[in-house]
Amino acid sequence: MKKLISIIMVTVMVLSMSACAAPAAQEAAPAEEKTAFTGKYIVNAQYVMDHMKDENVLIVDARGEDAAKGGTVEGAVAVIWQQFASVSDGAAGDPMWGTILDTDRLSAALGAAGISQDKEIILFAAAQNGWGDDGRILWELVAAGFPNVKMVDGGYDALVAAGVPTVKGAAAYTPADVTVTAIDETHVINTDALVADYDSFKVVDVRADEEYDGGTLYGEAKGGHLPGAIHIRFTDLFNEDCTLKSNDEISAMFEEAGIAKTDKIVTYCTAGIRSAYMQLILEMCGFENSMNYDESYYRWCACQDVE
Amino acid sequence: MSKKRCITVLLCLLTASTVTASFFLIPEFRSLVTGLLMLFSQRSVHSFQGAINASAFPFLYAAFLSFIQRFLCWFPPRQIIAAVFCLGIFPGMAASLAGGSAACLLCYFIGRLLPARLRAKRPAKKIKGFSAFAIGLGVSITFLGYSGPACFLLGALRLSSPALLWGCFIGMLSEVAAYSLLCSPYSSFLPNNVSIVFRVSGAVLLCAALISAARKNSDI
Repeated sequence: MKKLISIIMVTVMVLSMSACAAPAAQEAAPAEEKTAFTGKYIVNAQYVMDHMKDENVLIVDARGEDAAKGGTVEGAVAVIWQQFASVSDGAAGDPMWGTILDTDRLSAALGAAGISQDKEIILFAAAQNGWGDDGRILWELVAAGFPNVKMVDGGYDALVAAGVPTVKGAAAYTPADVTVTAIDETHVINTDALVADYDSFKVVDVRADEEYDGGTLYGEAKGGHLPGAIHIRFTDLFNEDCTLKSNDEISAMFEEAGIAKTDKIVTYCTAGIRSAYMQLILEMCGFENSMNYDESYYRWCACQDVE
Repeated sequence: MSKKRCITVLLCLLTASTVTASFFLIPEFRSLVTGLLMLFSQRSVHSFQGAINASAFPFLYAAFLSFIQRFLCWFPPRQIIAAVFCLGIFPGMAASLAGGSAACLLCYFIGRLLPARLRAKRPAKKIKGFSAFAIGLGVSITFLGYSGPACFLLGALRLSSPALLWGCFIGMLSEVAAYSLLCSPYSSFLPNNVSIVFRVSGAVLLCAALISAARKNSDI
């Protein structure tokens, strides 16, 4: 009996030692080099470090004042996407709820926040841990004709890791005179236009699995997804360290899902936030004919059939 | 446990069970609940404005949002700001007060329903009048936004003076007034100095009231 116990103990010890050695062996393997995502709207943390003190640069924390209270980039103002979208006119699911504001209201909202066309606007948020708020606001600014807008690859975490100075609490707004003359709808689509020509689009659902599979996590009228929607999650765009995957990886992901660069692509999520981010990434990867379904799933499920 | 108490507890359990079962079994109800939670978790005054504007009875809906917020007390009371911007300053404040007061009363009476072994051993009968008022006011303004759990605690401590609840009400009125007058959809937190004044005044009031009550108890 004692011999048996000894044999068992030795066996367990040997197995434990091999299990401990395995991760060490993995750690010893050379780390794969990652290729950073490149695109006209993307900058890295070092760029922010180098330009944050420039006079004509405005750093914008798209996570909002709650998150900024816990820590944000020094000098950054805090905004939320709802400031620049039509959410105060009705409830989720109503026609045009959550879509880009009209030119007058958008001008007023941007002016109140001091976000003006003469500045370089650099947005950051929480990468895949957020809703893609920076991408949504950048998408709106591009539609509003802002010539110089960027967002930070890796979000706030990347900025902190790079040693960008941070403070608790966002900077106060410096109101500015902003006039938006027109909204460029090249990358915008809404329900009527989508329904009218549905079969000509490749529709991409960027929501999480449980949402695609029918969960009503955010007050949607019914669960499911748009008919024939291809499921590519917003979170699939990111590496584990919250930076974006390379252009080639993302392009391959879409091509494997049956989406070609010549296709007319419509991205959607619950309210058009994550899908706006996805549309920008698609555009920067060469999928030029891509649009964000601004009313998104909230509106679709309230007035159309779902699968 | 007395018969009346037993019936009350059973009714509460039945209500809670019915609501929970409805959440899992009725998709429309689940959408309603998740939509409401989403409204709070968006942390956006604009979203609250939209919900209030879209409702059939904006005043009642604003009061309802304030009622819910006292149970979701970790979210700042942005619905107060939204109510003011949608309804006007006085109707907005009135709606916020009505909803918040109802929630605090409910929390207080739920606190009093706790089983004897979880409540204070003896009711603090000697704390009444101005001391009770000061405790209610102090608790409300020290724990801004957390008056729901605070009233639950006061109920569990078996503090039973009406003056206590009046103190809570006046504290909540101060909170609603501060958010209504000092905040906006673009800046929904109270200025730091105002928060500090509230908390320090509340703490001082609370300590003074407790010391005064303790002295009265020891004198008797």
